[in-house]
Amino acid sequence: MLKKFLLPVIIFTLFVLAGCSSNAKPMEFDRIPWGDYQRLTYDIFENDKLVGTAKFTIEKSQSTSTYEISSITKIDSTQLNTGTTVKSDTLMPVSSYYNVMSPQGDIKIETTYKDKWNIKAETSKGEQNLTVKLPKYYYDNDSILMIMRAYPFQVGAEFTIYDAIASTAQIAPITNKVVSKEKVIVPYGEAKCFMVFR
Amino acid sequence: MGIQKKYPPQLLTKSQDLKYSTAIFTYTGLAYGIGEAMSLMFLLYNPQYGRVFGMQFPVGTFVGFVYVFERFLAIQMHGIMGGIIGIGFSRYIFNKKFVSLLIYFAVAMLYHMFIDNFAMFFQYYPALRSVLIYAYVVFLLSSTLLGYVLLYFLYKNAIKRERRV
Repeated sequence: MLKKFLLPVIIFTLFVLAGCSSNAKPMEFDRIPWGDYQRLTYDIFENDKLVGTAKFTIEKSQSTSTYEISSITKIDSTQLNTGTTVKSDTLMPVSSYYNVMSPQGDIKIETTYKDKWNIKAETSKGEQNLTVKLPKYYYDNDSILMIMRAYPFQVGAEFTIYDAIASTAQIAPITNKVVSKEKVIVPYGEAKCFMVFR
Repeated sequence: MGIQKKYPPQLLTKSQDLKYSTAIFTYTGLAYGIGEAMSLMFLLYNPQYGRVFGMQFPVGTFVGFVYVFERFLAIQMHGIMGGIIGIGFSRYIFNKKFVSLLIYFAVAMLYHMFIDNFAMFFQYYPALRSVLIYAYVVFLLSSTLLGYVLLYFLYKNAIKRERRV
């Protein structure tokens, strides 16, 4: 009777534990696709209607061992300011901030990456301090869009990395797959692009 | 005494079964609601564990009066849902009506979805929070009241049906 009960429990436990494993590896990249300074501006559309803008700035720091990747996103009356300091060799984060200003209230989040991920959130209601265990390789969510540009793109390639999301204190594995090549017309002109699915 | 004259005692015991079943399931629902409130509170203060439960919580969220009020009503709503399922359970166990178990379960689920969907609807309009917060409070109070009325009528209806067996 005990064996009959134990066997499904063991199988179920192994099944659950198998789901915990991940094939996330350090990010492989050929070269960093920006210079010492780069600025990018995006228009955000919803159903062909312009609803906001996003501006990214990438700048090499004075020490030259890190890059500062910052962004300002404005949608309606909400503004999101983010910034991440990343190591210039691995693009892994050192620290980051995430500030939201909206009619519902402001929130300010500061994080530092050491042995563990320390998150400090401040709102009008108070302060919250969190500590999160880090995997071996991880990238900050607020700079990941820029960092992904360093992927060695080719159709059929698949990349899995750990995404550290400050706004929810989560570290989630994300997988991107390069599915095809296509041409995209933007205000900058016509660009040859890779289509990436997440 | 009037009931005993009208119905034989072996049928009246069925009403007792229904009563106990509804009560036990109501208490189970209340306990579930309390557990859910405690779990959510833990996750609001420790959002990094949200993934264990397959959920995401924004950092910097604090438990205040609105949360306590909402959960106070949500605990009762879970009790109501438990009671409705308890009526179905009683009809299945004591009257062999499996379809009743499914129907009452579906009614409880629909009640839950009705409240959840409206609660989400309010969250989609955060800019109108100052106005909607009053509408939300009225909605929560009225849907709890609606739940009690629903449970009362379903219970009364189930008693009538049991007497016909």
